[in-house]
Amino acid sequence: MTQQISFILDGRVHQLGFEPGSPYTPITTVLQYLRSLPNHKGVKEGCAEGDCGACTVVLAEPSADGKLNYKAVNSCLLFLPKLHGKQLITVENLQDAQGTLHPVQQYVADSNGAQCGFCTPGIVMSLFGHYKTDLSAEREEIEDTLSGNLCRCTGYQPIFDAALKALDERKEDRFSQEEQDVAAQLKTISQSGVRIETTTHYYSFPASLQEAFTEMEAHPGALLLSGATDVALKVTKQHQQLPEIIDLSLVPELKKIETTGDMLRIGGGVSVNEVLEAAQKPFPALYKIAKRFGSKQIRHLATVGGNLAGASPIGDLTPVLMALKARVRVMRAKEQRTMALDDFITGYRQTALQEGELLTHIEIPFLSEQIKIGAYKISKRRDLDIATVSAAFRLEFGAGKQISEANLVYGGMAAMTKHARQAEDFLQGKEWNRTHAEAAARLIRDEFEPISDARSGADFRRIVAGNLLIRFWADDAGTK
Amino acid sequence: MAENKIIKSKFFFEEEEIEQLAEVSERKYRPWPNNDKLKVVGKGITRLDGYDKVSGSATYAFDVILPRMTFAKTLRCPHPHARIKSIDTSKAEKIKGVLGIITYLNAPKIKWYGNSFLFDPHLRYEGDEVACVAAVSEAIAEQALKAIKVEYELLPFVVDARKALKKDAPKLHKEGNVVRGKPSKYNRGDLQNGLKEADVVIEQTFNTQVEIHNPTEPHGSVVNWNGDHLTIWDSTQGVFRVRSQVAAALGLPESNVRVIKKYMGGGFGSKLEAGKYTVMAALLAKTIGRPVRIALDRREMNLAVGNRPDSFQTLKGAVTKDGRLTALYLKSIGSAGAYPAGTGCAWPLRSMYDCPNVSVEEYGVYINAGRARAFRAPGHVQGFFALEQLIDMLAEKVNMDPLEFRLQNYAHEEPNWHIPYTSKLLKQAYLVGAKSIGWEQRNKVAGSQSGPIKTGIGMSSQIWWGGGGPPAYANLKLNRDGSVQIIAGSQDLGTGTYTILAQVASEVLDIPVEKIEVILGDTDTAPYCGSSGGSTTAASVTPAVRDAAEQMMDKLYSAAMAQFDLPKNKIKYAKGKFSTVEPKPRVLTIGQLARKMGERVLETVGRREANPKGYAINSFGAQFAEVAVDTNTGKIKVQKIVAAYDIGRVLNRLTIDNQIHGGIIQGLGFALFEDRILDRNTGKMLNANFHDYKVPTIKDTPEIEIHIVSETDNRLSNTGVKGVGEPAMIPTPAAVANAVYNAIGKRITSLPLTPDKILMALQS
Repeated sequence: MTQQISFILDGRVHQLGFEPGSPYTPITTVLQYLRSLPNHKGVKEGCAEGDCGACTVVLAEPSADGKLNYKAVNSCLLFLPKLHGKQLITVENLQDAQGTLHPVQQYVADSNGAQCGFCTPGIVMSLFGHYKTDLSAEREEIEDTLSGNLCRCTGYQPIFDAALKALDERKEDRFSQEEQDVAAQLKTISQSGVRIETTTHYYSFPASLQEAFTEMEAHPGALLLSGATDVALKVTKQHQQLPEIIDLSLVPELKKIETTGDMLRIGGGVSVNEVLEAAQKPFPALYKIAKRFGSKQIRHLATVGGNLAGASPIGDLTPVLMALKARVRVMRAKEQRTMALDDFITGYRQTALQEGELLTHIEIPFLSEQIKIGAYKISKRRDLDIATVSAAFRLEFGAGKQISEANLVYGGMAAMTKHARQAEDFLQGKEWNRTHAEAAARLIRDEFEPISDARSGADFRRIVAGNLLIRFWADDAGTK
Repeated sequence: MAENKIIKSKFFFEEEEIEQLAEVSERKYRPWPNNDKLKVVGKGITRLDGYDKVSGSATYAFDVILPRMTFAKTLRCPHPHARIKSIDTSKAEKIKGVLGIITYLNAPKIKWYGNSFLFDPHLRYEGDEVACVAAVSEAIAEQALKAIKVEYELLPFVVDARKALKKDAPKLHKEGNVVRGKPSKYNRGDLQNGLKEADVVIEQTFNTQVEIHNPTEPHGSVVNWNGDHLTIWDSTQGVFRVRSQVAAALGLPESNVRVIKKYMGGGFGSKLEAGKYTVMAALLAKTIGRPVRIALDRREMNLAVGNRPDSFQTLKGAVTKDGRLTALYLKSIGSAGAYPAGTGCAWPLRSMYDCPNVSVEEYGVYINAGRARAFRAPGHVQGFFALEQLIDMLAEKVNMDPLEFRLQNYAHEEPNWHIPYTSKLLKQAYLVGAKSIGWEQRNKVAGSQSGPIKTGIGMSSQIWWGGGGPPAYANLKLNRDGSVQIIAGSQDLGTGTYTILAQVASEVLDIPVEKIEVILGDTDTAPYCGSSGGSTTAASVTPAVRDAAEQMMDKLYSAAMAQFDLPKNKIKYAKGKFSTVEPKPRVLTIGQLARKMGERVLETVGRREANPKGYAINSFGAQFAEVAVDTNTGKIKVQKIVAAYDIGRVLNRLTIDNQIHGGIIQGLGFALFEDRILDRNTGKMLNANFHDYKVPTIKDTPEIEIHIVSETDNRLSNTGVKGVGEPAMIPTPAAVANAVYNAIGKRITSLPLTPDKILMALQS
């Protein structure tokens, strides 16, 4: 364990030790840190809660093949220790020493993609992150990359035009040239854990699951976090101090995605972005919903375990994973147990996790051909919005045309993610047709008592909840 | 003939006709030909500040760092209506790193918002200023805010304008809850006669919500005292306005206050006035003897720096069976918020159509919420949402095509004053737009498509002012190396002022735009220009720049004549070079010529000329929307917007497209989801952040097609330009609402058009 963090910025390794008198603490955000430096004023604060993207930076970390993975993230949601072992790239780092702009910058300028320019550095960094991956330059992919960057002036079209041109002509840039050197340099940075103890804060990165349990035992009051996209708000918005933190984001066991026989096993610390990549083929419904989770910057940080353990009634992934009959594995130091996700969520923001237990894996059984799955999310705005109502459906068919089992799971309709039991019972043994879908929809409307809130009225929630089942039928039947 | 003269200048700035004395240029220039004959103006030149912005090197007020700079944060009232009983800052003062705290107890009594004060123990909304702390870091200032103990006496509150009008409603001000104590009224013709004359009368109410400006850059200032001189870096739309307000507040001569603004992250009207925060920072900076930076956070942006007021509008429209408007009536109620602000929305109804009998009654109402401010086309966006739906309803009643109906009631002269327009090409805009959207493909019977997803097409007109006027000045300097500076006290909000001013000078001087440096937003160095609002910047300032550049050309010609010792007709000028063939071929660049002058810098002062007398100056346009409505979920997808505008001369095709795109997207945000939500039970805002207050993302962007039907408006000014910033947004919500009606056959009369309203309307 080392007492300081090391990362690369501006072409050199920085070490931060959080000694007494240091202006930084382990819960200083990367945005606050960068804005305290004289040469990174291009990183802007627009909201300090991950909703505008003006503070977007790119983190590069070594991959297994000796290269670097580049990810755009919101620096306002990132605690400083999370830079450990990574390269931090800001808008100031993109142009070369002669001031020649990077292609993504040049094209944004050439397309008049900047108006007031305040959001521009963040947009440039999101595009740079995309530029450095093998994601396509299709419209949908570009929109996905930019949906976490709010622009209040341009109306986005010139930004899109710039993105299209820059991504279409991707080639080696100066980052490609230094990639291997940087990767090698990052590898020399301590891979053993980090533990920072100051007079006010304790922040540790256990390097294995075993170490994590030891840490948890030694610091029973510590806050566990991984992506920390929610936790960061406690600091930036509520000004909490969070004296003890155990950061699980470097625990390798929690980062794995494995296919084992009849299931996909996802570590609790796997980012939502990696989940969606892994889900694309076997679980298109999960892929679709994960795509609409936050923004790309948030998906790079947020983890599937964090989303489930938060047990929000409108958590994006819960309904679809329930419909997929996902199981949850939880562990403590020497024991482990698995349970259905249905049993894991026990109430409003409550789970079956006990003191000292960790959600380590999510297991999703592969689907047979007799199963139909659909998932929907209704929100005010298309993206970067939490759900008003979300729904996920699973229909299993036996030998005949009859439904042998129905699972209709709703978010936003009750204090927790919930099945529409009456409609499920009704559909069992019935044929899957419009009449039955409509009849089930009527039951769904009656069996929930949703609340009216700032997002919408209770009546709307009821009606739309039923309609989504009809939409599922129509989508399935191939009609519009 | 004198070249300059002082006149009485009158023109519309936002919703107000302002009258002032102004020195104008009396020089007459040959009107420029159409843009295709010009070299630089009208071309799609990329913005000159593009490099600064994409490289991150552009410095905003937010980014200014000074030695020994400190950081200020504001304690805001957590209640909608309260009085401070006691306030104790002693604990906060003891925190290490806290340098100064001001409250109503120790700050000077500075008048603000009419009859209240900078710090007022009577707090009228959630967000009203209670205290301001300066500390060595923002984090410590935040900590100090938490340590200030305030005892509040809670007062009854009202957050709904209609309830605030009731007799027993809690009162915010001595005068009562109606702003200025009475409604504002307008009448022309005879409403009752107009209603009698008609075959069809429709009465309908429409509501629009409160919209928050939410520019990406938070409001903020950095202030620094040097003796009794104060320098302010501010994120503002009007450097001179801030200077006057702050100097008055602090009792300083204006000559001691310098306001600087280079880049700013948008304003949309919310940065048209000096903020309390600037004065608080200046007071703290004075006390502690160090520079202070104050930047609002997103929550404060949502609570305390303005909004588009809501509107509750009752309209009556009367029409003969052959589709002639005989009467229009509007009663509107709008929430000013806690302090005086404009809330009217009658101008569309008064000025869009040829209607002889019009009557308007408007109430601005105090409620316990953040105060309204001008927001991109104040009054017009909400006014058109109601008017243009009413027009569609009337057209349907008399079985006319809505476009036909609009043409039938076309105003050929300005209906309020019965004077001609300097130009009006709205009909061309209608026709071009209709063709482009495929108007004939709209549903003949609204809502008649089968299937869960229904499409529809709708339109809305727009009118705005945006002709600008004097006073506006620009200095032009030619240096000995041939480089040029334009210095003007205007500002670039992100709209492209730097670029268009360079283009105008480049056109006249026939030198590349890259050789021209534009300096804006500094009250110590620049001659006066008005605030950047009302879509007036381009229209007011570009003619002054042309005036300065033309004078410079005259000066250079004189110099060339002296140097060559030839009359003007023997000398040619092109591309920065004077040449002659007599008596032998000689060439002099303007730099060479400038070097021969004894003075090292040649300077001219350009002035905006007077607006023409006896004319109305307006811009016109129309937007057409195509939507798809999912009747299962109530979701509206706006698929396409066609915008067609009569906007005078286009200065830069790229920046005008930028502006129109941006206006449409902001209009879509207002149409579909932006909405300040106040909790009726607590009087607090429920969505004071970007997480819950939704503005559009790239995924909400429809296909947009833009047509400019005008070439220039030569009656208006020597550049023939009108502003487009506000017109771009005005018709969008109304066009979308009309398209939604065409799709589903249900009229949604309240904004935003959320899925639940659609679904509920479909259920009814």
